Amino acid sequence: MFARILLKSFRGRDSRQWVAFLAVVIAASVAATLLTIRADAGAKINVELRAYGANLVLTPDAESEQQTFSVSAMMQLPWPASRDTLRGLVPVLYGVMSPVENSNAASQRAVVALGTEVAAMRQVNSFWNILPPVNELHENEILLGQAAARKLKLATGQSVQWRAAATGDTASFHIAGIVSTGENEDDQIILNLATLQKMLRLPDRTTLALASVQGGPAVVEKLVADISRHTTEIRAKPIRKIAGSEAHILRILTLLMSIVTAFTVVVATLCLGATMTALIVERQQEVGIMKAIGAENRHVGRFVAAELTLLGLGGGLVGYWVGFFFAGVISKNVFNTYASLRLEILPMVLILALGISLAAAIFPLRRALRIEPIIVLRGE
Amino acid sequence: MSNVLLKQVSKKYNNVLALNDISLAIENNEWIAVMGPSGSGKSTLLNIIGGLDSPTAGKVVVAGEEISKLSSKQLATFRREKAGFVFQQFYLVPYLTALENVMLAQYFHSMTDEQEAVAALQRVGLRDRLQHLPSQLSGGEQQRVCMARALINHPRLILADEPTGNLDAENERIVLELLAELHRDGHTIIIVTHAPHIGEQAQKIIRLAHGRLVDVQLSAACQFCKI
Repeated sequence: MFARILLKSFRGRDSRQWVAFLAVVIAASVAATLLTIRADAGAKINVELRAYGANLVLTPDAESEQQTFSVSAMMQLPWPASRDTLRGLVPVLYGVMSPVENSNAASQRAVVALGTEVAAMRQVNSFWNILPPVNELHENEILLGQAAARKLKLATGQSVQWRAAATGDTASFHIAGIVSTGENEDDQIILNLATLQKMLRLPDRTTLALASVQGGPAVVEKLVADISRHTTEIRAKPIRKIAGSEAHILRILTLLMSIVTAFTVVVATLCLGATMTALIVERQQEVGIMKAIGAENRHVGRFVAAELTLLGLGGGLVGYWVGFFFAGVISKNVFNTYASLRLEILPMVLILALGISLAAAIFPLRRALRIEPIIVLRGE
Repeated sequence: MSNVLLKQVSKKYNNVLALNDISLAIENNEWIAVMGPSGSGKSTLLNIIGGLDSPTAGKVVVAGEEISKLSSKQLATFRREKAGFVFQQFYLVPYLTALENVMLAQYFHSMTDEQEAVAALQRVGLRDRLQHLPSQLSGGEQQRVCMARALINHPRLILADEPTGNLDAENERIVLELLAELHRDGHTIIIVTHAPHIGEQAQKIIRLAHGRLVDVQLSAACQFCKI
């Protein structure tokens, strides 16, 4: 009978009840949108920031007085097994080279040579722009930074003989492409790592290594700690510019979302409270009749609470899906991917919607309990 | 033993004395008509006997229970167990069907029993109106639903406030026949009315004026109570 009365009571209402329902839906959908975006934002901002380059750098330990460290040792470090976490790892060996005197280079100034694996470098620093596209450098191939090419007056397709300043070893290289990064690499020449190691006579050595680690600052910090426990030869440092930005953005985003959610919840609670109070006033006679034929306050309270609980749960459920839709729209516009359906948010949204309904119930409930049947029956 | 006993009962609304020092005893299975001009305190008296209102002074005992001392929760229990109300305005819940309106009283009392509710409506001649909403029923039919609701929890005391005030002659006759039937079944009936011909149906007529009990007389022509 309770359910029957409740459902009939819902069906028999005017638009005011729908206004109350809408208030819950709006609050729940704002919360669901923001929670979904917040849940996805960490991962998505992380992915976005990975495009700005590495967030972890490995260098020789300062106390070891070595300028390079072993690539083999680096590979033995406790890297995360998942490719989803370790998105890229690339060694970088630096040396100084200059075109030999009888080469075609207009200028014979020494330049910094960077030995690396191009494919791995592009995984870490996806902003490296190589024209024509080159994914792998062979032993006799070289890339020129765009500023270096301009200074040396060299172009793709030319062959140039280079000498390593440290060893005097020379080798002839075919220019496979021009690199543009907007950073120091624009002034450098890029060789295959093994080739540079050979010319510098530094087999298996690298000056530094860059890693791109996904999962946020906490994951990076943990990896740094793991590496420092594992070796004294190599020192790992987070690149704060990137890792810090990520944490900062997430903090601001969380704060902003909390403020918007709190504001919406308060407004929705007030709106729902006012609407429900008006509904109780409207239903004063009905409550009076019930009390006249024997209903106690607990009966009336149960009806009001059940009605608001249904409003809360129904509004929360609808709000969850509306919120998911809007999160998808926002996510598509900001991150260019749709938001993932996060069922773990549903209980949070339902609890929030229920909380709004129950908080809003205080005034209407008090009003309903104060209704005197005789006052209503007398028509006062 | 009296079913209803009032001792020096007064009721004051702000500065208006609605009932003034009323003392009264109503026996079990009596049919009483309360009459008097508008504002004489008839409905107030009925509401106080039914536990809908409380006296400002005096003592009210109904079915051995001093209801003037009960809390609002105890009064709710009293109303659903001991008294059945029939109102002039019917006061049915508009979104519930006739059957559900009757079952609502059962729900507040204990447990609902649809068959019993159907039987109560059948008794008042509404077997074919079970699923009708109040708005789909005539005034007389609504009043009969109200009577079925009043009876469903088997109270011994039926309190009717101008039950035929909004009805045509035919429905008035049906309602009065139902009240007579209830009286024959052993119920105590207190009916508030303006109409002398309805008052005449009762065994006893109580007259009020300005909140005072001015007369108690036996009815001359209680046709139903002679049946």
